[in-house]
Amino acid sequence: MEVTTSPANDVPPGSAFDAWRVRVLERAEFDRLGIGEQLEYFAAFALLAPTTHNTVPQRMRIDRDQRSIEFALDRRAILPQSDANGRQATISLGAAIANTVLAAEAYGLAAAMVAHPDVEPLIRPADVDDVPIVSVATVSFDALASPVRDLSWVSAMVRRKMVRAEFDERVKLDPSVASELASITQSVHAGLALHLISDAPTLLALGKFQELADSTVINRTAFARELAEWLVDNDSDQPLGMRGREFGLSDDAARRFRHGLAGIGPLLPDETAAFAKAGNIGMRSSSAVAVVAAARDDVEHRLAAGQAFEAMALRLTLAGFNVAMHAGITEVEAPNLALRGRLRTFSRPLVVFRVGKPLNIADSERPHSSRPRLADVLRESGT
Amino acid sequence: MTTMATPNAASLGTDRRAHSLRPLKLDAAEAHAKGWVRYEDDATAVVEWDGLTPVAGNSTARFPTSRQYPAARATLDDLNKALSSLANSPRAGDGKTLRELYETEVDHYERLVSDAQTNGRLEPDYGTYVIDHARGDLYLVAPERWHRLALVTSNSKLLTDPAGRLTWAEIRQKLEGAVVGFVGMSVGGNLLEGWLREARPRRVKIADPDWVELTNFNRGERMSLRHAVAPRSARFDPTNPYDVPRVSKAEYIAYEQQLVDPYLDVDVYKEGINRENLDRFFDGGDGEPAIDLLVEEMDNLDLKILVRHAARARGIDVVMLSDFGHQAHLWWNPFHERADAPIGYGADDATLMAALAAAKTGDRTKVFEFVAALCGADFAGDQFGAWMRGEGEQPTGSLPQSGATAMASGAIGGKEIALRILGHRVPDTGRVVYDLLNRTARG
Repeated sequence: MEVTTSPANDVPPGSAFDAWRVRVLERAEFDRLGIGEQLEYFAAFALLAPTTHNTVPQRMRIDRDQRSIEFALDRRAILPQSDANGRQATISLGAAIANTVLAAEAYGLAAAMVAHPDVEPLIRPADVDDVPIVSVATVSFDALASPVRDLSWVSAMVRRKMVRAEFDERVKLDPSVASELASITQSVHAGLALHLISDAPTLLALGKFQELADSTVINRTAFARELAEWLVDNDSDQPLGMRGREFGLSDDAARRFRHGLAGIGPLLPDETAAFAKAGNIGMRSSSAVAVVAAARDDVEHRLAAGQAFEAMALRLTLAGFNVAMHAGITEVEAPNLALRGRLRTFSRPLVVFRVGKPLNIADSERPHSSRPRLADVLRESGT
Repeated sequence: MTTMATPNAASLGTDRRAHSLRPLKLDAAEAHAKGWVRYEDDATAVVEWDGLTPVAGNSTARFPTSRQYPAARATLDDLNKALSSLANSPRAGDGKTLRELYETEVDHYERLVSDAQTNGRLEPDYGTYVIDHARGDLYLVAPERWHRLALVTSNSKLLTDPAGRLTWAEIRQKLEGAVVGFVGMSVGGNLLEGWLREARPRRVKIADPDWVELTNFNRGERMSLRHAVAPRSARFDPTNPYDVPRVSKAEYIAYEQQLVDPYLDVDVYKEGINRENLDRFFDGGDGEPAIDLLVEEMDNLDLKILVRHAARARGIDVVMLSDFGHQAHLWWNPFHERADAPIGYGADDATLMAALAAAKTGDRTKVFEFVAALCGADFAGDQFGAWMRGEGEQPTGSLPQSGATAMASGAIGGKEIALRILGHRVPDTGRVVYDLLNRTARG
């Protein structure tokens, strides 16, 4: 895979960030690739999709003969405490699939996804004796008469990142972009509904729900230990996990939080409360908070919610916005049920993310999260 | 797509006095004449008025006698005891003494009562109906002048200008006309209570984005179960136990204060102060007045500094009471007199801004360094210091706050605001620390 020689300012040096240095090919360059290389190129963008806790649970198997990519979940990357039924991992996989589909459309290929039946019970954290890889969906590709999507969408995949910063509440979401987001959601799956919230009282309520969710889980020892495993030091070279700087934490603060959550260092109640409060402030400062809700909480809708989220995130990236996912509010039942009441819906919120532009410009330059090598998430035939 | 969008920008031009809990007022004479308020044979009051619809969803409301509180006569009786007829009864604006005006008012009232009785009407054309649509209560209170007078008579003339030259009426004029803005209605609510009790102004502006929580009750003025949650009717699904709509902190306190003085106008910024509405809060517009003085009691560090910059640029004083454990720290920014006054007590502006930036990196110690820069390095005394150092048990994840210290802060703040409005200077250093544990005060 080609690598750019002049990386963006927000892509740190080191192999853990090489995935972001993928070059966006011109169409003619792409057309000269063989089908295997083309599919591998798409997989490189699937790797850039956001995943819960940056666990990167997606595994991909390229089938040249069938012109397809099989998407699977590595159950060892499904988090037992925060994602016990694999919902977040499945949504993450949906986001990875979205990048593949959208990239294909930009390079003149049509992509069709088929979810595999009866896999939902298998999408669980792995026990020792379990088969670790669960195949979830297959995306097949066929040539189109002409590309149906601009290449800027592929560029957006390289630029998109979570920015968990306070946003500037003065920045408004253009109504035409809001309408596009709704269209994107509906085009992915008719069973999804998008709630786009921008009024101050509801943003406050969402902020409170998120704070409640974060407070709930951080105060559960097992969850805290799990979070500590995935919260890594700023100078770490690990390809997985979230660096404290992605939350605006200094090197010392990131280390203190990790040690404190792991139970091997001091961490005071007001510090975890402040961490939860930051999510609240983030919500309230947003131009909008998007909630993707589904009538059914199953693999099909989870994958679709992930696809819709990533497509919206890319569209918003193109419009100059950042997004930040808030999974706690979708995974902790009490705030999730509270959210349904506030949204006046009986559907289940599957994805909650906020949209905005950082109040502090420097926050928009926070580094990307790390990624493993593409080879590490590609499966050989027969595996 | 469902959108829930009432962008702040769109509400900038709205009349913020019309908050959702605002008790509605109807002039009694007009209400009787237009049939908006009538009484049935069993004395049930029926209000039929289009003005009810926006808040109650219905233009008609019925109030059985158990929900009616006719208070006008009681107000006049209470004033009868309070207002002096002796030589030193204050002169009102029209040259008459308060007692003389009172006697005239009572004569007027009694004639209206007699007229009502003669014509078989339950209530005279006197005073103001106050419809508490949130609770289903109907009050009938004395006209504004007399209701509000009753609220301040006990304060007598304890508050004066520094030279002691102003008359009672002139003092009242200054206090009634002052518009004080309060941002942050937790301890800010305590200061609001202090200011209203002391001065009884006609208008205030308040801002807080938060909602009432039971854990606020240890310090929240007039907080009660009435405000712990919104009624079940506010739920989308009445059977969903997790759907618990809450009550805006700014709206609750406006409501409670308007049940004390229904003539008080409160401009409610329930989204809190932010970069979008900051100018409006300071400068007013569309009939909303500018503020004369700012009370800052927010916990958002950025906003604490932002509003001070805005106040300094406008020459508006800022006062803050910080409740640190058993200590109430008074800190004035006297920007009206000193356009170059620093923002913080403990550091110059550059140091303060650097401390602010550092405080936002998740490092707990940096937050306290910022507090020291703003409030002074001695802020962490007594048990608050122990909490700050992480010593001993910590039952709460939030900043510990003593209910009594918050109340004391409100009292001190209310007095300070009133003194300042009347022309008193701020303390020489801008700061006084009231140590309630050691029963001392220091500058």
